[in-house]
Amino acid sequence: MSPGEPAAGVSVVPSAAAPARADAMRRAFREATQAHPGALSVEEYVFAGRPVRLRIVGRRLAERTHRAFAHLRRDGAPAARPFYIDVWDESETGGQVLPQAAAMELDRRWVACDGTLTASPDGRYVSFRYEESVTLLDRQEQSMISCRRSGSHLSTGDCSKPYVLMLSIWYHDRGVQLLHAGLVAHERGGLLLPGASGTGKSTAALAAVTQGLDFLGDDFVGLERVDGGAFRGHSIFNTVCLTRPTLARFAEIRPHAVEDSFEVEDKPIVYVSELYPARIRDTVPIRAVVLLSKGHARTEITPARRADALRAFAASTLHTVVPRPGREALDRLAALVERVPAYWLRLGPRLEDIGPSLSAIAST
Amino acid sequence: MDQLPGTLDVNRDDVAAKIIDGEAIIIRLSDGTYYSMDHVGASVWSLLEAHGDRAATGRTIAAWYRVPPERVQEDVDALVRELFAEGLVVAAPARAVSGGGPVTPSHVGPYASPRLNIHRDMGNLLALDPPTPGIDDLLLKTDTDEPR
Repeated sequence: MSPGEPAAGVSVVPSAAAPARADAMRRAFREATQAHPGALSVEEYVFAGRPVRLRIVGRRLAERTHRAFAHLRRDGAPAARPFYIDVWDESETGGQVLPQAAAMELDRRWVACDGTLTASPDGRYVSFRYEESVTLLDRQEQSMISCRRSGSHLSTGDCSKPYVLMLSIWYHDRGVQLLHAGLVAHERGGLLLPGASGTGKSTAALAAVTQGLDFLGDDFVGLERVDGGAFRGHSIFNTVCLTRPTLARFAEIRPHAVEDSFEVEDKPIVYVSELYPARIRDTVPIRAVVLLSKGHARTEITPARRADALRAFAASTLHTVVPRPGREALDRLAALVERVPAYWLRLGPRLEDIGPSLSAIAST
Repeated sequence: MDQLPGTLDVNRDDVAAKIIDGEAIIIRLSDGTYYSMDHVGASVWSLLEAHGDRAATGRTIAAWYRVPPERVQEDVDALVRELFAEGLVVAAPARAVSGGGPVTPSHVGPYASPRLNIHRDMGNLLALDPPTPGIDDLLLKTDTDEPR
């Protein structure tokens, strides 16, 4: 089977039927809201400067989903038409969409992130299905609709980075590149921490916020090029996920981490905006790229080559983000490393050295 | 490939590359595999991108790094063989040097045989399913049919 071809045995919806599938999901959401008005929650957000309205039917699902975006919440009606994200919990509302989820697949199909990603030929509709959910994004209408089996059975990723795959497409359409990187900020600007899993992004980001820096993300953040060629970084989630041994190093944080009964990728979650509300920012100008290297005798800063920085983004963002970023992303990242300086932060054993080191880089 | 073509081109449909600080960073877009080549390799890449003439590339590298042409040509051919095997270059008709002025060496220091460093996604290597989609596979066509 070639990429983009339908899988054998999978019911494929002709492209003309994609709008009907979207309508069916919208109808099911409407019915869920009408049947369970007390379980509906509506919150307004701003994602990378764009208004977003998140409506969820299902108390447990709402509580766990809104929490990851809480720092981007805004009061009052948005000035422009928002991006609608509508979600419902079938275990609470008794809907019947998930049993037919396979039939919701669109013409072109890929396997991605333990699920199935499908798209209509014109790219307008993209759906993502995995065992406990189906989500459909209408890129033209700027709306996303999602049905989950149960808000009580979510993975660490579902709680800490809800809808990251579909949101990466929405951000891309707005000129914002999803980066696999941490982002912390000093008063002089933001420091991007690119790196694949296990490079120390979460540890460094959390250490930074406990030592007075501001937090924008530990794993996925948005990058946007603005007028004049400068770059701006955007927060997406206010969460940090750590392994238990790493969390044990943060004595003051440990009691506040959420140790839920996650069934997949079981990691405690730290909601930074709840612990450090004054140290959360949603957008910052990018001042430098900081490459992390673990296992050193002491923490020290050395200049990095621009090629080192681009290679770090290649190893993380360009290599691992789904959907895979393309040529445009490489051009954008090359422009970023040409514009801002890069440093190595060689991490020693003492967490308390991380914040001052990052502050020193930002002040350079 | 036993017989290497005399003229080559970067596989522009599936490859994005940047040369920065004398190092080439190359992405194979169809599966996200990325590659790096330092100094001499990056210079070879620039020449293949500009004119694609394999023999001329060997001669130019020999002159830039002051190394016997026979040795350099062996190294260039070995590298080209790897680039072919990875789908990063394709056979192409002879062409004039592409625009942008004369090609200059990415970095001239001591000569070392060029090496292609390959960084594969283990998930893709092990998967029986097709590789994950790229954002370019999901181009959104607007009313004016301009992909975005």
